[in-house]
Amino acid sequence: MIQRSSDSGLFKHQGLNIMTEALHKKYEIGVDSVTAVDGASIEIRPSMTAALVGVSGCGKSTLLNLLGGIDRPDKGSITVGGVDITRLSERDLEEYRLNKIGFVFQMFNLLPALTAVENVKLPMTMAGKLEKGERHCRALNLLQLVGVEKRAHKRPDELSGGEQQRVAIAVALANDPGIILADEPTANLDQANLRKILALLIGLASECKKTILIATHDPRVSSETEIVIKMAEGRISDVLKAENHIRKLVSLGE
Amino acid sequence: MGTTRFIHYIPVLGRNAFLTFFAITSLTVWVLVTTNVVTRYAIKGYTEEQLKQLHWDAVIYQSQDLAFHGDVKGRISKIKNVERVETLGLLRMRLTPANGIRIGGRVSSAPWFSIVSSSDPAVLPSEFNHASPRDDGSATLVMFGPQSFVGVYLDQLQIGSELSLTQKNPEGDLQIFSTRIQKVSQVERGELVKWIIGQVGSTAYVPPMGLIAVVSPERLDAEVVRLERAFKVLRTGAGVEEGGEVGQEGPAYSPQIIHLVSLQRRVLFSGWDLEASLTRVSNAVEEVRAEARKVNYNALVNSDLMLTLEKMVGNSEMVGIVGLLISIPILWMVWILSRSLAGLVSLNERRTIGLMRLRGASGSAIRSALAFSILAGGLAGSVAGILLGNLVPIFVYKVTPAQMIKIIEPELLLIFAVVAAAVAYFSGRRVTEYATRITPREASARTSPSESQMWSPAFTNFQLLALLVGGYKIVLWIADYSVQVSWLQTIDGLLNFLAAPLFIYGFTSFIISRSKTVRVLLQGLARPIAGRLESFVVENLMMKPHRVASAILIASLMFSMALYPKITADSFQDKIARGLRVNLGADLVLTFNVSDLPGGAELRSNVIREQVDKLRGVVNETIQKIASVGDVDSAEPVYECMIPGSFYIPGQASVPLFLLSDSDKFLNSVYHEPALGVGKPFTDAIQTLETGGTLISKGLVDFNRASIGSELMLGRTASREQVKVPITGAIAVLPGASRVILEDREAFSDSDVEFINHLAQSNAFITAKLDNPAVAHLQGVFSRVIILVSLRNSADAAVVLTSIESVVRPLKAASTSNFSTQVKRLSKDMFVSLALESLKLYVLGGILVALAGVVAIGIVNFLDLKRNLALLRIRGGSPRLLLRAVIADFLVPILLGMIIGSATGVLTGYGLTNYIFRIPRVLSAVVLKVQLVVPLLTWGIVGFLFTCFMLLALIFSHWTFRRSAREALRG
Repeated sequence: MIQRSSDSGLFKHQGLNIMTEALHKKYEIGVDSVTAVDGASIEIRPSMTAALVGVSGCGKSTLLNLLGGIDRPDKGSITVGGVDITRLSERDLEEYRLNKIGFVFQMFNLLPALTAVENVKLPMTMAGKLEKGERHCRALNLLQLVGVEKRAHKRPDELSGGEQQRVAIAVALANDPGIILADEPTANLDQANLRKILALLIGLASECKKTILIATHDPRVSSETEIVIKMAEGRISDVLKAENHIRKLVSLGE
Repeated sequence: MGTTRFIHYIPVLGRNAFLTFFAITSLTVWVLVTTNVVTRYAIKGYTEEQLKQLHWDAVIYQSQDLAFHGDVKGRISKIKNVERVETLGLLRMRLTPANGIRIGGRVSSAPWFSIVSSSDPAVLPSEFNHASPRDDGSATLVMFGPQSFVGVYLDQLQIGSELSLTQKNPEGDLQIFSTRIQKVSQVERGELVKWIIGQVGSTAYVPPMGLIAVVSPERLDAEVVRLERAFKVLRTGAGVEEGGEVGQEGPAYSPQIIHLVSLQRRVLFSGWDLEASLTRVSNAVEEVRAEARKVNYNALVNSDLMLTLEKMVGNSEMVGIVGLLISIPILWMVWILSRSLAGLVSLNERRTIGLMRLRGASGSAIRSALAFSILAGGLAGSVAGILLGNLVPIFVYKVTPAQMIKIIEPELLLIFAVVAAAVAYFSGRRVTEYATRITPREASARTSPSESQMWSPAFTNFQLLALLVGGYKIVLWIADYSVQVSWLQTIDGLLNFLAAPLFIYGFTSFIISRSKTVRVLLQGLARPIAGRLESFVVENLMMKPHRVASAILIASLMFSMALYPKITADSFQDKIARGLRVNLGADLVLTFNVSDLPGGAELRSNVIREQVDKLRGVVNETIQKIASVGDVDSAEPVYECMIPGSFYIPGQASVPLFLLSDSDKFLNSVYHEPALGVGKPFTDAIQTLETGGTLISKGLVDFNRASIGSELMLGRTASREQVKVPITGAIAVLPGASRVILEDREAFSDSDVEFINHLAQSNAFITAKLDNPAVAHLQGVFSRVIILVSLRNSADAAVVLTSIESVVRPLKAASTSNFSTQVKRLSKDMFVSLALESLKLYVLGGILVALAGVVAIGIVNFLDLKRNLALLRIRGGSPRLLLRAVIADFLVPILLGMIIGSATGVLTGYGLTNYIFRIPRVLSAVVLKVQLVVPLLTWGIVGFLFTCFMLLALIFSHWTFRRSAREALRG
């Protein structure tokens, strides 16, 4: 589904291996304490697509936040590409988020003041690696890759939901990260757009060799990934290959 | 629907609206009320200061029936609210061949004689003090005038000598007055003039020299009938021609008893209530007049107290109107602030409104609840502002509650409250209209359409008009031009207060409407602050043009308001000081009476060359002595010669001719400015003297008595031939040559600006070279030689003067002035100082309002920006990078406003100074150009305000330092 740009040379970095060990994360909510992640240990190999599934409040988003360096675990380790990110300083974590991770959100989270191409350029500008012209060129190429190059100069409120999510994926890819973390990326999309976005994400793994982890409720999404990580009450309850997961879903009549 | 429903919505929706508009109106009314009270306090202080200068509240001049002066005093003393009455006898006489003074048997050459007596010796100058309080028939003889006159008496007079005033009669001399001299003292003429002004509040002619016999009041009482009759006979019977002699003109005198009256000021006067004070004082003065006229129908009554109060009542009304006009920019800022805060309220309440609308609440009920809350907040804020505004002076100015009750003007407070509530209501309509317009779906959505879609920054005709009108006025200020058409002058005058805000509004609107221009400007300012996030900041700002425009407008108004009063004040004072410097001509000025110079008293010829030949040697010698004193840079003489003739200015018996010995040296020694020349620079005009030309004064040009290029009939030779000289130019002032100095002002209540005006009035004088052959045979009388002394930097004029006095001894200057002493006497012009004081208050208030406005806009922006910053944080943006983005987002519009406002402030300050000098009251050294003075404090103000904004930006950006990215997203 990825529209390959002629060059391409857009991606130099391959997907990274993700390994967590006995991750724990608690939140204090008022006087109560909630265990969001409780001893989670998983491994996702480079360039693999994985789905993180489970009911609301099972800890999917927390696990994604921990893997993306948005939050820190109370206990346990997270090794990404051989580096334990739990030991990184705040500054290094910023570098990690900027260069190693691409985020895709349910609500797209594009900056409303910027056009599509400006949104894509911004992470590159923050990283300060490329020249101005190169940034612009790369941003247009990424928009072409996700199929919205004709909408490059539109602001988010002028784009449809599907287009916004495509732009959001281009933003996530801007700094050529090894990992894409997607939190319910298709929840706000219709059937047609769901298929397009899903194909795009899967294509990133197969053709661009990125490691893809998608938190989702939607079996149509989890059925497309290589492995499915099931979570319940903060724990990893099961890790299945996609075909086994589908078989289970069929047997449960979901 | 009910009322019930709308009332129930108030607790849910109304709190923020109430508090917001409460804050706006309380701040607005507080600023307006405080300013009003403080302005009145300033006027009160100024009036009290003026009244302190008045020794007496009313003065009765009794010129007839002097024998009954005791009756007058007795009647006046009994009037309610009269505290004290003292009597001053002043019997003056010009001495002519028909009468004369003999002292110790020798005839005196004194041209003027006066008998003075007072019921209270403290009223008299210390030099007048009678040695013996008893009436032993003796008198104190006081002399004034040049040393050549006074010295004779000081050397020869014996204590105990007899002084007698006699009238010559064919039958034999008749003795009018005779006394034994018990004490002899000397007084400076200037001090004498000041004393008369101080006691009676108006000027009186005092000749260059004269004698005064100070007698006891008992002696005066005993002889007053005889003296009155004799003095009147001498005055009317002597056949003296008024003004018939060169430099000797003066009035004929009536013998007078002057009653000096003190009223009970504590009862009659309150600085807080000038109008009522004026009424009470007028009534008291009228009563004094009525009582005085019962004894002497022709008695004149003057009251400086009443005149000063009349003047101050007029001033306070004018200052009040000016104050209200100047408050327009503040109200404008309040309006913008209200609109911004209304936006903030809309943003905050949007979701609540949305949820209520989803659940079936009617738009009109929501609107009513919000409108009620806004209006209630506005009214409550007005009350709080009134209380605050009136309470603060009680503590700050230690006003008693009783005084406060007098100060409070209910009508004005009501106007303030209505204005503030109206501002709150009309700006709040933005919230109420939004509440009814918004659809349930839109209201409950998580994001709203961008402001740029809702608000188009078009440049309207009104904004174009504001730009043109404001710009037109500023250009006129700078070009020093005002409209001459009478019906337009009122509008033109009003524009003096509106031009700056109108220009700023028009200009800001124009800039904002040019999206490409504003983008370029914002980029230029954002780049150094935001760094890599420049485009993010600029695009973010471009998304909210209305708020950016508001921030630019508020900052522009604030910076211009903060700057122009100080620039105006300093530019104004600079011109006044330069006017004084031009008037004095040099750092130190010594004026010698020609009669005091060796040989000066014996000048027998009236021919200029012959007099110059005799004077030049001694003047040059004196100049050399002065130049030899350390710290003296140069010394240059100006000779003053009086040319008889009355054809130049009506009523003026002679015209001064100033003679310069060397034009170049003169130019190098004196302080001058190009504008002193009329039609050509001053230097060029003076240099034409080298070609044998003469310069006429602007006064002569104004009176059409002479014109440049024509020939001037300057006077006559001894053989009555006309002396004609070519007029090669005109000058407004000849530096150093003024006959009037600062002490000579007409009354102490006059401002120094008025005095400077007086100096710069259209005096008639002529200037030529000393060796001009055309004037060599002219007839004239040399009266003064003015020596203009330039000092080296940092030299102390007083110390140098002492050295000069010692080297030129036994010569003694008739008067000396130095710039450093005189400039300290230039205090403040009442109008200008009051206006500037008010402006400072408005600036303070304006800055408070502006800061509140900018903070409000900053909060709204920040709330908008917060989520975007969180996204950037998640995507790896460092706190430092985001900090720069936040600071840039907040500061960039303010910086743009600062640039516009500072430039407008400087232009306005310069222009207003030009305008002030066009006010008829402030004609002052108008010929001088206004020079822009941007004092260091101005930059201090800019720096201070900038620091305030920087601190605010840091407070806003504090959020970006939160530890984790997740917190950022949640926040």
